[in-house]
Amino acid sequence: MELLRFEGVGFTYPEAEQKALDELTFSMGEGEFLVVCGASGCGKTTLLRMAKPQMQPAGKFAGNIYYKNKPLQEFDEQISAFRIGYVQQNPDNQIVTDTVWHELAFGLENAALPVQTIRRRVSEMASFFGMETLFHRKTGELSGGQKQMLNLASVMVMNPELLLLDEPTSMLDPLAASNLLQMVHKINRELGVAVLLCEHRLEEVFLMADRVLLMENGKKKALKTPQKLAEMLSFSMEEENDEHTSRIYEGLPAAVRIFKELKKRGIYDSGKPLPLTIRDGRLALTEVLTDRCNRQSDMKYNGTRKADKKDSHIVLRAKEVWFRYERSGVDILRSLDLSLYKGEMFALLGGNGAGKSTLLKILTGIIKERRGRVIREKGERIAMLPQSPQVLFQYDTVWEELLESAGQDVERAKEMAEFLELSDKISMHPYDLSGGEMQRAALGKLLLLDAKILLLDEPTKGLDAYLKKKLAGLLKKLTRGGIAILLVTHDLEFAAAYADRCGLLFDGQVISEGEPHAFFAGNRFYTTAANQIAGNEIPEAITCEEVVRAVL
Amino acid sequence: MSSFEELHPACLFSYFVAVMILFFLCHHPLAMVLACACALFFLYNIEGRRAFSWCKWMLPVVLFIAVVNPLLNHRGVTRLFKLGNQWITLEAFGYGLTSGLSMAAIILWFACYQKVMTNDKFLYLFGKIAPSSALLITMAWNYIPDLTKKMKKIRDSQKMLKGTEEERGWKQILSRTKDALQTVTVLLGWSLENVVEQADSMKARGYGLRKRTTFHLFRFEQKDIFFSGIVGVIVIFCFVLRGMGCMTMEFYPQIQSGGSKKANILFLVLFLILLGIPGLIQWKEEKAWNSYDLKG
Repeated sequence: MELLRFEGVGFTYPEAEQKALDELTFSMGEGEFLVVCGASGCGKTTLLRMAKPQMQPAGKFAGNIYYKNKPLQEFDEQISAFRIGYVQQNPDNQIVTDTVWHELAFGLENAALPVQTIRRRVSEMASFFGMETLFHRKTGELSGGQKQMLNLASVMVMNPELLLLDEPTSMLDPLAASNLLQMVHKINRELGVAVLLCEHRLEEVFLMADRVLLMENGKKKALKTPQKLAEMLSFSMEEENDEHTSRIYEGLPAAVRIFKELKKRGIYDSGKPLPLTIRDGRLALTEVLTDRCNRQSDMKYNGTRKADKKDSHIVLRAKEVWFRYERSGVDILRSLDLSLYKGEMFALLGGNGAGKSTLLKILTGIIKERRGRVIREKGERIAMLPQSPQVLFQYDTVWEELLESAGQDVERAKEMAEFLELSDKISMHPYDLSGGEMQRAALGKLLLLDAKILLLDEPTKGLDAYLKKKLAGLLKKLTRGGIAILLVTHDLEFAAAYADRCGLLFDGQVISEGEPHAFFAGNRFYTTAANQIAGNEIPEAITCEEVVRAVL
Repeated sequence: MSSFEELHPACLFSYFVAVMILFFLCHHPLAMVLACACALFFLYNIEGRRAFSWCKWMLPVVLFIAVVNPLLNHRGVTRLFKLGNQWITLEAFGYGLTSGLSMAAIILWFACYQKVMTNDKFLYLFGKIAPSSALLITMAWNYIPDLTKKMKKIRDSQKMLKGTEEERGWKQILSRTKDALQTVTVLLGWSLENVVEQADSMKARGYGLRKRTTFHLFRFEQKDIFFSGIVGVIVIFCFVLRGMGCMTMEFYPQIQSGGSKKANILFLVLFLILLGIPGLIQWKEEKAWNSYDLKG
């Protein structure tokens, strides 16, 4: 049966010229898993908000939305509030109370249920989510992933029929993101709750979705099964290589991107379907390689190694640094050695709580190492871009921010705005910028301070594949100008594609470091999706482009 | 028997209220010494030797009041010695000592109250009267650690932006004030931004649609009935005895204890049992655990 239907829905925000949603018509069935994708600013969030009366923003509305074949507006607010669940992007800001058990009960308290019923539902959900051990914890002590899981659980206690999820994983590290999506999948499969999820990391959701809705400028561009959509996008990538298509295309699973290229070049049979998963990609690749004239012995591909920067001098060096926060605490860093060369981009990888952020603070001098030494080159200024760039802004417009950092030098500020492609945004409030823009503005402030060494904390968090590419371009430009960049990240794909050197922080030390190809080749699990697909045959191919090049 | 703090909040709260009322009614040094001792016994069973650090500053306070009262107050007939041209009297000293002890007792029992009646228990008891204020308080408890964390992040980044330049003298004070102001500005902006999302999340979960209930994890068990019964009986007896004039002490013009000797002893025994309950429960629990440990 049909659960939700949009009929010619249009929406315009007050004082906006462009429609956020335009003649949008689609429907989803009960228990369906529907993924909405599209470039940022294409109306994904607006669409989700339209589907829940409590979240509808103010503005000009047109068309009709039906929920269970009845106009949504006619539904009792009491039903729509509890029957349609909504989870937002930011894990921290959705939590209302101070303990986990109370947060789980919050929605049910609002529904004015008796305490006994609440107790039953809360304990039921806590065990479904495996949260028993967290039950009495303070919400403030949870990690980002646990917080988002709690947000999902505290919506699920209300027993919703439809879950709306607005990029729920964009602020999480890959492991936590994957856990959350698996949970959403489980809820969909086991409890039969319909899911409407918008997301730009398609690698995983593509395998879960029943159908994918592709949006462009507030319009529906396609509504297809993942397989069909992948075929369509690969095809239209060839036809009209415009920004919109490429923005979505970059987010597709690695297997799709590799085999689309191979198909185009006639190596992969054009009649066969594109593989979506890593497993299918692997099998298809083995097939292609054996087909292609049994010359396994010749498959010695050496990745195009990135130029060694070690001939330039060291600008920042940590020597046997030890650190712990408390006297009797655990050592976060234990005899860590690290050097950063002029003009290189060094990506430091590592799991949650490996001490990456602590290391950055020590390198900038915000906190002092307990033992060992940090040697900074004299006269080279170090600046750090924190995970939440908001902390750097204090004025009402981007222009004032840049001007202040430029020491009131109008010319320099203007140049910087142009360099960052923010010229048309300078009169906006920094908080009104999108994630990528806000980050660039913050970066601009640091560059205007004449920083020669940049430390970036998780710079790719919340950015889609296209924006990552853009960021990488910007960073490359900076390194060419002699700026040294150290970035800590969870993002293996980004590190593999753009870093000059990679290092792994584990147990308080940088345990392996080297040029990306050497670094990733040979890892089985801790490596990029492309390398997971090709690793058996072509160990040194770590990006999709390289896999394709190696096969040719 | 589970530990004292696991009793139902309503039992705990009424217990403490009854105890405090008795304190105000019994201005008697012996009762107050007992009260202090029982409180220390309870605290010792909860936090071990650290409990005695209370004595370190409680004793001087008691002595201070005991000494200051006769210096300022010269009523009473038993003259001890002359200081300057004023007599120091035994009655004034006794009164001061009793006041000091009763203050110490009240402070110590408040410390016990703090240990036992955590915020969520208080909120559970009074949340029903004002559910929305109760929620507001819970939210505030969530904000405080959150704001502290944000504040630290902002300070760190400001430190980083400023680099290593150091100022001295009044310039330093000026720039520090400026920094603090900036921190608050950024903190306000950032938090307000987040609050909008929080409001959305509350609305999305149906906040404000109905009069809310307040969920809690407490259950009124058999042990709570048992406890309230015993405490109730003892408290009533104490009040009756007090009404008959037990445990009263007149200090001026001469120290005089009211009530018959037997009744006074009975009162003190009951009083001791009443105040000793928390400590005893806790002590028993502790012993039980120790024996488990030995067996295990």
